[in-house]
Amino acid sequence: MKNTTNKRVKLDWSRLFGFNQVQSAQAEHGTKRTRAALAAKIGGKPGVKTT
Amino acid sequence: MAVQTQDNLHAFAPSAERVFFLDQRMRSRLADSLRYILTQGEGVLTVPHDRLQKFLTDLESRPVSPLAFSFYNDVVLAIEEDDVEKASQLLTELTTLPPRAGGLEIIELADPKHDAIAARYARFLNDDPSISFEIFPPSKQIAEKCRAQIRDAFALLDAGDPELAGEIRALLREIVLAAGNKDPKAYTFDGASSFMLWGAIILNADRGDGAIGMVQMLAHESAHNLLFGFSADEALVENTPDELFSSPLRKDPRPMDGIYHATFVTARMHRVVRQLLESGILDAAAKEKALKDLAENARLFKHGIETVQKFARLSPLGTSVMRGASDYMAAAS
Repeated sequence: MKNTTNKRVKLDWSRLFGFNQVQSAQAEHGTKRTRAALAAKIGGKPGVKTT
Repeated sequence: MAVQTQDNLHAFAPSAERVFFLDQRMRSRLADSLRYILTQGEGVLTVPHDRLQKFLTDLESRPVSPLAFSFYNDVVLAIEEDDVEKASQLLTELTTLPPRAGGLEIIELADPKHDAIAARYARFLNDDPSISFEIFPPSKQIAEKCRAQIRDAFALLDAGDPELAGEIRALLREIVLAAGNKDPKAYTFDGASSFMLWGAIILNADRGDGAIGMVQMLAHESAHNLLFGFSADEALVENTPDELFSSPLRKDPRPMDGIYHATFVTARMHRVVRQLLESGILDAAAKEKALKDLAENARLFKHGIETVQKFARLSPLGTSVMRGASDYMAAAS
């Protein structure tokens, strides 16, 4: 993530649907963490997802 | 835009009526956030204002493509990266999404390597940085077989659990048929859904568990969407994403949000199987499978709820929603 202080468009995440559930401490870690908080729910039955 | 509240909004029992409220609220919140972005980006973002205003008006008045939510997600992330050119392009693309007439469509995933929309679906269903799996278009033969399973599943639901049939049709705009990796050592998937693809589910079309299995798959993935709808304004779980726990439905440890979802959807799967059994519409073979699945769903719920009760920090909403599932399971056992 680029320097957050000089962004051309400043967004307050508390006003953004879906992103406002991400705690500010988590948000500081960047977009990867944010996306994890909004993650897809993947699965089905046990054993389907194998490693 | 004001959204009316509704009694029993978070009840465990299915209801198509409350889904119309949830869908309207999701679209209203999306419109509010897009307007906020446009205000903040005035003079910086380059977007077709008239088209965007029309899109926002339409968004608040009728169902929209699940892809709209994914474009919004990417706009926010592009702005966070200070890539206003990309954000402007995404906002422009958002206005070109075709309107939805309503109703549930079954579509086949195109090849994510060559089709931008297919790549978008694949990316949103594979955004967990801890794992990676491939997603492919289904063969014609597999897709046709899966379509037949879905038809059979809805026939069972209409006859044996019409309330859930109605809720699923209200929740889902799209069922996307796809295929996974057949290598036994590779990650694959059974079904998937995403907050930022509200109204869409992706199914692995290569399945062999018949209409009873498909009924549970539809109950499972639609229940994820129901929880997304519940959590438009408030999180269900307050644990951080890096706290990992054993999941009832996956081999890999998952964040509590995933455990919570898995536990709730397992109760919903139990409920639909029980409804079908009690309706008396199942033949002997289907009944045998249903009884086996009922016991398995009860076992998985027990696994999940024990983890939730031991480790979860639930919001008031999360507590209320899970209480409905727990009360149902207690009464059913």
